[in-house]
Amino acid sequence: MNIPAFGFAVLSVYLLSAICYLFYFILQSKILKRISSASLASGALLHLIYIIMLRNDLHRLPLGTVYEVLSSATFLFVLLYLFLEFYIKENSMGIVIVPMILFFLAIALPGIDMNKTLAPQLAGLSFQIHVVFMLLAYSGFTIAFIASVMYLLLAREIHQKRLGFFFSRIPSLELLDHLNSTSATLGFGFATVGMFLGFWMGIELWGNPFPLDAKFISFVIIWIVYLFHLVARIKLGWRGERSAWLSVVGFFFVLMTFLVVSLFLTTMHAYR
Amino acid sequence: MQIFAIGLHRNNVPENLWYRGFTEFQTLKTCAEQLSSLNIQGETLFVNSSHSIEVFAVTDDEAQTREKLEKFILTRLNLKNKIKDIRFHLLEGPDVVRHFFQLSLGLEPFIQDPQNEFIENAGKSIAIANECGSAGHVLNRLFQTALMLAGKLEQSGLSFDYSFISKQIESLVQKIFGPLHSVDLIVVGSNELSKVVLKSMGAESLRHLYFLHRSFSLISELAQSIGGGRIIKPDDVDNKLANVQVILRMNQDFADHFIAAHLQKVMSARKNQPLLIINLDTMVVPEASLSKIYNLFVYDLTDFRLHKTTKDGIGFARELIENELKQFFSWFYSKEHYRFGDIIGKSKSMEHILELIARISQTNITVLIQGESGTGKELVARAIHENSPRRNKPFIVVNCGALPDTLLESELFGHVRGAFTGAEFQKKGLLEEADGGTLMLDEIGDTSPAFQVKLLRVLQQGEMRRLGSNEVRKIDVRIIAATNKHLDELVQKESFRKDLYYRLNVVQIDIPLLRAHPEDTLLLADHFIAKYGEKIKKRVIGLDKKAEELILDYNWPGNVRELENAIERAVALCIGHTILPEDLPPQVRNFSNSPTTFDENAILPLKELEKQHIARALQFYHWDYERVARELGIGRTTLWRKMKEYGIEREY
Repeated sequence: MNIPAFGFAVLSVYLLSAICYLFYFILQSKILKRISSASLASGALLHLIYIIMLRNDLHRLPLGTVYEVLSSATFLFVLLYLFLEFYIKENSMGIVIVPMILFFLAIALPGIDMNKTLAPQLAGLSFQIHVVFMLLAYSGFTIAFIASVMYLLLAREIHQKRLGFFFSRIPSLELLDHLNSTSATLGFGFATVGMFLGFWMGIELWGNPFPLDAKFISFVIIWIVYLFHLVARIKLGWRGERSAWLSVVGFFFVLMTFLVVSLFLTTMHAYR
Repeated sequence: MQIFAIGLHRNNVPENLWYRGFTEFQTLKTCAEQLSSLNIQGETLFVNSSHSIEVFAVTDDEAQTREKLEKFILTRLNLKNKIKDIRFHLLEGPDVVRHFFQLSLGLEPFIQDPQNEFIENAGKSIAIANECGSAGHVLNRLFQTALMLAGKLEQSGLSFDYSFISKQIESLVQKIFGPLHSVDLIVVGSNELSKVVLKSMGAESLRHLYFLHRSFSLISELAQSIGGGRIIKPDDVDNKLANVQVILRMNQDFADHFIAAHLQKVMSARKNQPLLIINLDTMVVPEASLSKIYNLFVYDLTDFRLHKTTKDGIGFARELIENELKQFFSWFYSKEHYRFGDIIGKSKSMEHILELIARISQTNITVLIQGESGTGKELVARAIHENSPRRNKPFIVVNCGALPDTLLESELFGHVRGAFTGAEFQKKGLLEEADGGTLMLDEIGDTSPAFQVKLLRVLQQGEMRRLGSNEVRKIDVRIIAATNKHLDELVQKESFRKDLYYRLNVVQIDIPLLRAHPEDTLLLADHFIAKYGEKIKKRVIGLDKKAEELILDYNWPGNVRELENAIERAVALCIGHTILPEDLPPQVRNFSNSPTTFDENAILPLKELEKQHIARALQFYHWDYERVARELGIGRTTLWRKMKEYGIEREY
């Protein structure tokens, strides 16, 4: 079967799912809640099949180019989100998350080149683990960001005492704060492990664990932000809004690193 | 004359002083007495409630009265020299009346049940003020109107639905903290909302429910009715505040724990765990400086939406108030201050009757009016009807004494064709005519027991049958019975059925004899002078001094009706612009000379009375025996005999 055509089918299912989530957010009906979850799960299943097909075709994990990574990252992100949805029994975050998935995948799929050959070091196991951990970290930060934006929207409504649109559609502040802290902490954990793997690979490849690289520097900033996120919550009692703002700031750097640095700047991480 | 109100709101007094002030607060009675001893020219009424104390006043000299009243409030609350810069609230003119009405209907400062404590307190206060003589007709009228408004609002069936608010509280708590079973909540104090709010927000499913209160008995009762919760000790407050998620403040208990500085400390003690404070004090408008504190959410009663029916109710109540306000002031600025519809009077007994009318006119209960003939029973009945929701329906008066039994029955119940000889057409009875309205049964004491049984059936079942018909008809008629006899005596003599008596006598209005409230006599006389002067197009300005005295001296056995007739006659007869003694009927004119005016401590034996009377008559007519015998209505020989018997001799 034609792999790019199958990729298009995956995209369409996610699009359908995004529409389901939108309708659920507006109408808040029970049946739509199930339909939206089911559509996202089937999207994820198709996505998995797509990745397996790609792997069989390329004879390696599809983590070789930034587009392959983006596609795989999106898949991991969907899995993480589905797990969360099942865990908190709340679908309202899908209104933000599924369009995001759709967006990333729409960038990634057209860029996947079936005939691309890779530098040998990019096919190693340690490299692949490094990338997967980083992707998990990004996913965690993304979910923390979405929970935080929702927290800020809801908190604003509650403070202004106009309990309206978001009030009835967003999970409780307590849950959002919990989600923010858990995802950020998990993300921080993955990021730390991924970063140490990176140091080790840096020694292997360049003989230097800390090359002056744009991606490396910007990732260190992210790592510091989320470290502070963790410490401030425990030591300074920064929970709720302040914690949410930290997640927003952190996610801003994540976006910068993942998109801007990877796509436009010349770094050693540029998969070339 | 001006109307104004001065008051002190609880917000403007430090909490501890307010409480101490109230424990040292003397009874209403002493308050009213002290108020009347202030020598204020005009009327005053003191009303206290849990959130404010207010004095309503009507006076010509506002500035001085204000000063006196301010001092009075400070001494009463024992606040003198304790706080600088006390902020009294002062209202004038229409604002006062609106304020009074709004308080009475429970619209201030928050929406409360229409059956609120203010109108209850005002009722107690006005009774005492009337006793002390500090309240006059304006304030009485104000209270009566408020009573009537409250009745109207209650009758309209509009409800103030608080469970709607507690649903919002529940969802707010859930939106911040998640499901209720993970939430700890503390209730500080209690008020009239506590029970309904806690019950309908599902307080029993909370993880922990705590109560905190100054008064242990109140709170344990509340805890029992909710069926859960722990009462905590006041010295455990800070510990609990640092650990719970939601605080429901029902009143101003422990107010010093809820100021910004203290809450900052609480927040850092709880490591900025979000805290939700909901102020449900219906009396105090909270200050808005707390919401700046990090992770602290503050909600007030006013932040919650009201149910649509509640909103409608409030709109309706405000409309009622504005209408009544206009009427009140057109009355206030008119010259007919002592007039309530067609009833005129400023005496206490009349004020009492007016208040009764205000209290009962909104209901459908049966009223028994008792009063001598000519006292104005029909006027009272009409006033009740005019102020009731039935005012646009018929008001029919039947004189039961004037008709024989059978005729009365066919009048009241109607009959079908051929029910009895002469019943050629079917006829609707007056009970049916009055459907939806009011039927006044005058001279109810003169009815036969057979009729009384039938009437009782109507009253108890609310249904009747036309004579000769089998068809039972439902009727909705308010019955007002009137009598000039003492029904209780008739009941003892068994000429009036006991069961009907109790059925009629739900509320009894006793109209006093005119001589029992002499302060109204001249008021009434002036009213009739104006009435008949206008009727026969004659400018009569009033009574001559002597005529006034005569009117006051006379005992008016025919009561107001006799007075009215006397004035009508006088207006017709008088030549100038004032009524002179000669214009009054002879029985009034000669009354002061008649022997029936005696002072109470000299009730003489009849013989002695006769002796004095004859002697006086002889002197009056200068020993003209012929004339004296004629005027006394006895024969000349009888006069001679009596003069001999009593030893009356002419002295030269």
